[in-house]
Amino acid sequence: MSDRERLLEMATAECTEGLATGESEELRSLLSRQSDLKADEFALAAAALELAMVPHREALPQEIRSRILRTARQSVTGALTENAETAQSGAPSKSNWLPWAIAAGALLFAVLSWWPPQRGPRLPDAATERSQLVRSADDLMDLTWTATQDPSAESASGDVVWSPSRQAGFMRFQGLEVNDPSQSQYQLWIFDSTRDQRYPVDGGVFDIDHAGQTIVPIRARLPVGDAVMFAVTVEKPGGVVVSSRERIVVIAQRDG
Amino acid sequence: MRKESDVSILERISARDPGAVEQCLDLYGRLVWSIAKRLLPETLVEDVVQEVFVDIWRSASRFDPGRSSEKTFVAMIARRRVIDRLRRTEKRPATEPLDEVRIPPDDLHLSVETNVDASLAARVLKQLRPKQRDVIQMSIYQGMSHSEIAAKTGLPLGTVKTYILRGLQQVRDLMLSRTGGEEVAP
Repeated sequence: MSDRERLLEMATAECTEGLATGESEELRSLLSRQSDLKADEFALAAAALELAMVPHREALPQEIRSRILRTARQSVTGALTENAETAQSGAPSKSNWLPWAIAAGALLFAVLSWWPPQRGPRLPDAATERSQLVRSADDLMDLTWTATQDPSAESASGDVVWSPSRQAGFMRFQGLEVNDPSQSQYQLWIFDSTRDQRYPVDGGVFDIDHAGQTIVPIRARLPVGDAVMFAVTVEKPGGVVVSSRERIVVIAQRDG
Repeated sequence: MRKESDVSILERISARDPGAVEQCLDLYGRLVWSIAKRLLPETLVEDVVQEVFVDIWRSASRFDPGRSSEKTFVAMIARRRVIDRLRRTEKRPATEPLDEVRIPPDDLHLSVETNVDASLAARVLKQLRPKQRDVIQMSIYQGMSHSEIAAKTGLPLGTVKTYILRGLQQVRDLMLSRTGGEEVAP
């Protein structure tokens, strides 16, 4: 199969049935090597077909609309949703508060990503954002990962940077084992000295899709008062509310 | 100076206009919810809808009215996130049999949103052979994988892929040849 045939096949698959892990990068590489098919052209065509075929009559439930709006507004003003905090002060239940805590963290990160204002057509990538944070945050914590005996961490190294004032940070990995997201995902936990240590703050779920250096933004679901340790575990797809800590792969601990 | 009505929602989101978030939900909530609910298991719908809106807000600056309408762009973002999640889940929602959802070609204009891209796509669908139109409908509407479509129709997998590819190419070519990206007034 020629590169062009492969490109057309993958561009078609991307917007209809999805791509397997690693294929997205292959598609990007193929797109960059030829000029007559731009990224998203087929995806826009598929979207137009969607709009042609499907009435889309079912309204977004008001409760969900209100949650998205409330979380977005609070994120813009810098205050995280009260719901996530209130919900976690009781017995956490994944069906009740986790989706909204995830939304709060994700939306806050989306808003933080808007600073400084975007000048070009592309959003900065994680490496650029990490560099910006490192340059500009004067309370930056920079910790080195220590690998455990877990098989996924055999060749793992890297660091984690975190700014308490910005509530933002990035993990950097080299050699952490590639995961199959349909089988397991990595999850970050932030141990906060101001909170019950049994319940570290969920820092987000992520994947490693290649063996080289990977930079992952930290998406803390709740405010982190005083981060003393960061730990990455292996969990089921989608992550968990409370980790069993059976598979801790790397740890980064603050001195003192 | 451009009036607010001339500035798209996505442009205003890029400019961090806080009022634009609510309008985005008003304009596109139905679209995003419908796509997610149709293609995903119920337990995933709410989470993915949230993720889609985050994707929309983060991608807003990439919207190019020269390439598509705003609604088409939003539908693309929603479909991408939903398809990605659908691929990672083993459970698929039960979709109605094709016989119950197949839209007769003459009725396509009745289901078309007031959107120039959708009008172009409807034009392409109308002139396709029934078998190819069915394959595209199974892929786009029912979210079936190419292998599933091949198994269901008895068509070779290569034929399924070709049918879908050609359909996308025809729609794409029409979209590239259109000017502007304005919505068709009701």
